[in-house]
Amino acid sequence: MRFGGRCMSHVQRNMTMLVGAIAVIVIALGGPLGLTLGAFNATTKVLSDKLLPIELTIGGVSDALAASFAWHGRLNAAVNLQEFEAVKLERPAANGLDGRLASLRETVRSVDSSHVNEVLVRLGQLETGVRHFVGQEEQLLASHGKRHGLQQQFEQAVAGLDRDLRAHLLSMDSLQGQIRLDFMAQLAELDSTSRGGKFSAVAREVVEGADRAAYDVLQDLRTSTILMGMQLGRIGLCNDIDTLRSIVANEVGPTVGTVNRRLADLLELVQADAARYEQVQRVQEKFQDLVARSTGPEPTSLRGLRQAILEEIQRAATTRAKFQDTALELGTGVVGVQQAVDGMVNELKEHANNSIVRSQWVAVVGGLLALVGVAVALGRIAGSVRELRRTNEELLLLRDSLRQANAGLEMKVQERTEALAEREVAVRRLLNGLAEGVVEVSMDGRLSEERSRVVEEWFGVPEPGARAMEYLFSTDAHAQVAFEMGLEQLVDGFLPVELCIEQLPTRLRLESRTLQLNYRPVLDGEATKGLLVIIEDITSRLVAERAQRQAHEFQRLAQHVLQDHDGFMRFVNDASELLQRVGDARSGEEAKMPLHTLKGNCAVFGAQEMADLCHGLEDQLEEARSEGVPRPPTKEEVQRLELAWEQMLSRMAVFCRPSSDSVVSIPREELERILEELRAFDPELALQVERCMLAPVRDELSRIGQHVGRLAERLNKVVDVEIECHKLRADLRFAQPLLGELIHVVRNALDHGIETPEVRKAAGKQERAVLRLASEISHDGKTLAFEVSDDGRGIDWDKIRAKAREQGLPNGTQKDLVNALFASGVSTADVVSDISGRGVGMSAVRAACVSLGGNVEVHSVAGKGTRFLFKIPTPHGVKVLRDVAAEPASRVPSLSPVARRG
Amino acid sequence: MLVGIEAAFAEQNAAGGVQGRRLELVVRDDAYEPARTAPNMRQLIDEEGVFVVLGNVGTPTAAVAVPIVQEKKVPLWGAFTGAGLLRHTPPDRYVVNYRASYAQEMAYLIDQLLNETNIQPEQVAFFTQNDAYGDAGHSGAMVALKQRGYVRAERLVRARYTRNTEDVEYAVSQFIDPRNRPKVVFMVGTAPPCAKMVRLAKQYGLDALFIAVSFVGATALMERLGPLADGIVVSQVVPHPEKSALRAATSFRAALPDAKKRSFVSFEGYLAARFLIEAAKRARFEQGPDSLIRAIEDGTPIDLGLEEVRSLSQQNHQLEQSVWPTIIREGQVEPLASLKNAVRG
Repeated sequence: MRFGGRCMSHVQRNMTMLVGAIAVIVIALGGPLGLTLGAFNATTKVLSDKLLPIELTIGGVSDALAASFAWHGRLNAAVNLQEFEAVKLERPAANGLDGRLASLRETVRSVDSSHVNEVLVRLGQLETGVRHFVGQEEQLLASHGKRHGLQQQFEQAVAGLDRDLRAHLLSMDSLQGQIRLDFMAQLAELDSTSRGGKFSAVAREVVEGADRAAYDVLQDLRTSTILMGMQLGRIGLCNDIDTLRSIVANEVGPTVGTVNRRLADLLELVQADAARYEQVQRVQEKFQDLVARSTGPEPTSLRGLRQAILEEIQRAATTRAKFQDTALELGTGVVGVQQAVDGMVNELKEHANNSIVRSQWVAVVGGLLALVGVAVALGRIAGSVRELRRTNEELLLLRDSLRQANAGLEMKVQERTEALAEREVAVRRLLNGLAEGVVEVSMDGRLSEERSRVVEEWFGVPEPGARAMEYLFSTDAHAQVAFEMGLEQLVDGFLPVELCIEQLPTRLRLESRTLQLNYRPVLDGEATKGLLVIIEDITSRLVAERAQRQAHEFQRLAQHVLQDHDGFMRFVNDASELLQRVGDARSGEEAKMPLHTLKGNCAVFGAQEMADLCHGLEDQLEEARSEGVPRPPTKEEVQRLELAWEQMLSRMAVFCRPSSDSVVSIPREELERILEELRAFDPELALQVERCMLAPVRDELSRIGQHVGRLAERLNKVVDVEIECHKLRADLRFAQPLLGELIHVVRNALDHGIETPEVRKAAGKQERAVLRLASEISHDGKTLAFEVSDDGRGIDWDKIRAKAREQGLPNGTQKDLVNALFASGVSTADVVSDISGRGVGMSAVRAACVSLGGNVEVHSVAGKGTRFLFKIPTPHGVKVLRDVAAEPASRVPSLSPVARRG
Repeated sequence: MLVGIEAAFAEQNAAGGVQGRRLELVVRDDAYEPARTAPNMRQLIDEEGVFVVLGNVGTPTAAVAVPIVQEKKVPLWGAFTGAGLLRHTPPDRYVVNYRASYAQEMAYLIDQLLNETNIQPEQVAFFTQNDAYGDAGHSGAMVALKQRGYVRAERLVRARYTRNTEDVEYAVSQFIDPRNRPKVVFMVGTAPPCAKMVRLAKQYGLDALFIAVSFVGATALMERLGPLADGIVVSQVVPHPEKSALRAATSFRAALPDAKKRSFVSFEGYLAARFLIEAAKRARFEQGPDSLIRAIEDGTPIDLGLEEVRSLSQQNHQLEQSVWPTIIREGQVEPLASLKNAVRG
């Protein structure tokens, strides 16, 4: 231990160095970490306290601008003064924005960043922009206000002019009536004088006289006045000043000229009659007034007002264009400020990043240095420890050699004993774990103690010293004898061991089990010491083999049946007859022919098991004959044959119905069993059979469709039924509750949805209505949908709402209305017919759908039709398949009353 | 209207009322102003709780009253108007009329004229107000003419004047056209323009028979035309209150002894009230106002002492179909047995 002390002091020194190095690592990592955290915190604080509020305020400015702009849209859309005043009240407070921007300045200044100035400049621009914006907004508001005021004034003026024009026309009518009366009086006079003498003077007066002329003038005047009314209407409609000027100058002007000229003519014509002259003068004055009010130069005339409105619209458009530019600038300004602020943020991030990178460098360099220190210290420590271990080993070697010398032999004996015991346990465990029965039989036929557990399970616990032949073969005398003889031969040792073993029984039936026996000689040197019997339970294997054989057989049979049903049926009939003959045979010779034929037929049709049985029986009969004791088949043999035949028949029962009917009816359980068997061997065929098992969905829908014809006839409606089920086949028993109720929906569609041909024609629709019944499965196969739709008048939601209200049901939303539609007692029918209208059916439909876990959708477009969609989940295990063969959608015309009569 | 109704009510109350109840009349005046009709009706029904509203005068006021009675389910009985507005098919449940419609008056007159005189359809002209009232009268005539197989009815002279004016010159000019002078002019209008038209036409030598429907008011015409009114035929929807020997007229004269208060209008009020009383006698008041409607709709004959005993149904809510023509002679309105007597020559 002398040299050990030196090593120890080395170790101590190196340990100190190691601890030092680790401390350096901790500092190297912790320091930068602290620094990083600090930088991170500072950045976060700046971000949250200063930059975030800035961003928020700018966002607020942006939002306020957007709101203001939207408001402008509404302002522009206002059509009259009232609307304009209402919109004016909703003005968003865009004018508070510059204040908010000013307060932002202080915050920006307090940020430590090189971008501060840029942000401030941009903010300044934004403030100016906002002030601009607010100013223009005021302008625009005033312009709009003015325009609407003018518009109102204009409309009042138009109304006044319209009224007066009518009165004017009326007064002209009156005048015209009076003149016509005079004229007619002259005509009457002419009529009476034509029989007298002074005809010509009166006649000239009638034909050329002032009344006649005045009447014509008034007719002109009337026309011109009406024309003028229309022209004034155009003033109200014109949209630009040039058109306005054109209307006034080129249309109203000439009309006014004409009227004035005609009025002058009229005055001249009636000047003889003072009262009438005055009347015409009044008309003239009135007309001048009307002209002045409509196209006069004053700003209050119709023309003046319209011009002012148009100018104002133009002005507003200009202002608005400018305003939009400003708004655009503002948007850019906001983006600019945001970018500038983003610059600040980025700078901050960069700053933080830099300090983090610096810290990382410090950490990496410090850490590496410290790691080198640790490595050096560890190396040194390892050297010292190796030295210590070597010294120690030398001492241990010395001690061990001494100990070995002492305890050598004794140990070896012990070891051997233990190994033997272990081996025995292992053998036992091995035997118990085996699935095979293993038992050793000594040459004197006794059982050894070593056997696997299943042997006791099968044969029971043997009595001590029990003999193998009694123990194993108690159930089979034949095998017992064979075993005893074989064992004896083995003991005799004359024959080769393999040959003796070959003659030992290999099969043994034990109650329901079939066991297979294998033998291995147990050799002791050259001599045979005993026999190891290995017993295997092959029952399940046999069953499986048999099942497989049967399934193969079935598959073949099925193919035969599918290919040649009649042939197969003949085979079945023939075979039954042959079997009968075999059973009735009195001698082997008599049985031979039918048996052979039966065998052959069965083989041809793939009934292999049956064929094998026949073959076996044939062999036995032949053997008996060759031994000189020919015999007919025994009752048991015939029975076995019959049993096998019946089993086969029952399996094939599916196909063995009388062939006279082309439809095969099969008990479902039977078919499912067969399908199960088939599936394992021929999935393709199984799928085909499975498809056949499922009824086409079309059939189900057609059944519902059949009602349509009858109902339509009763309702005097002409309806085509369209059925579309995408070639689906499914076992729809699960959906029956819904399908049973679907007829209510169909009835409703016929009664309320679909109009009579007359109504349809009047509405411009095809006279024949279409009622569509459809079904489809979702892509994942989990949802089956049924659709009932019509192209009728659609659901009158207002009526539903009214009914719902009447019933005290919620009716606010569309969903409420759909609920009400299905609620019990709500019906839109005014008259309850025997077909529908009680409002009960629809609730039943929905209840059925919901009970199946489904839901209902209603799509209805007024005048176009209604579509009900029922979606129900397909339950687990229910298959919905698609036919491979194409199936076209069909339209089945229902019997219309007319068609029927025809 | 009011005078006649009051007379009938007083008479019935004196005889012990109806089913032991006294008839009580609550009066509201709308002054022929539709704007006042609605509040009056609501007041009568909601506040006074009346059983039936009787004798509303005028078509525009009825237009306001009908929706109210339909809503409140209180009958509007015997309104003084022949407008189609109160004669829907099938009838509004709470509107019950006593009198014949304007169209019926017109049809009656056309039929009588063509049946009993030698006037031909093409010798007929029309003078109508240019509104629904005038159109109703005109279309009643058209229907009557076409039913008689005269398919050119629409081409007959039809002179119109504007409502609320007296601008009838144009119309007169049509009538005096020497190429086609009518022998009969039917008037569907108010008294002032009708009077002016008759005067002018006569002034210009038109020698025709003027026939007016009841609405014009025979007395008003006489006041405006004086002797010129002579020979104008005015149809009435009640018999002559003074000259008729029908039981209805004798009982009216007994119920209203003051001859100055008796007129065609007060007689109509009296008959409308009698009609109501007949219905009320069989109504079951405990079942509310609707019982009045049920009482008339069951088809029981109602006898007011006029020429025919009538019965009503759910399809017919108008008691009288008859029209009684009268003629103005020497400042008096006289019953006219036949239009034959009005046509000279």
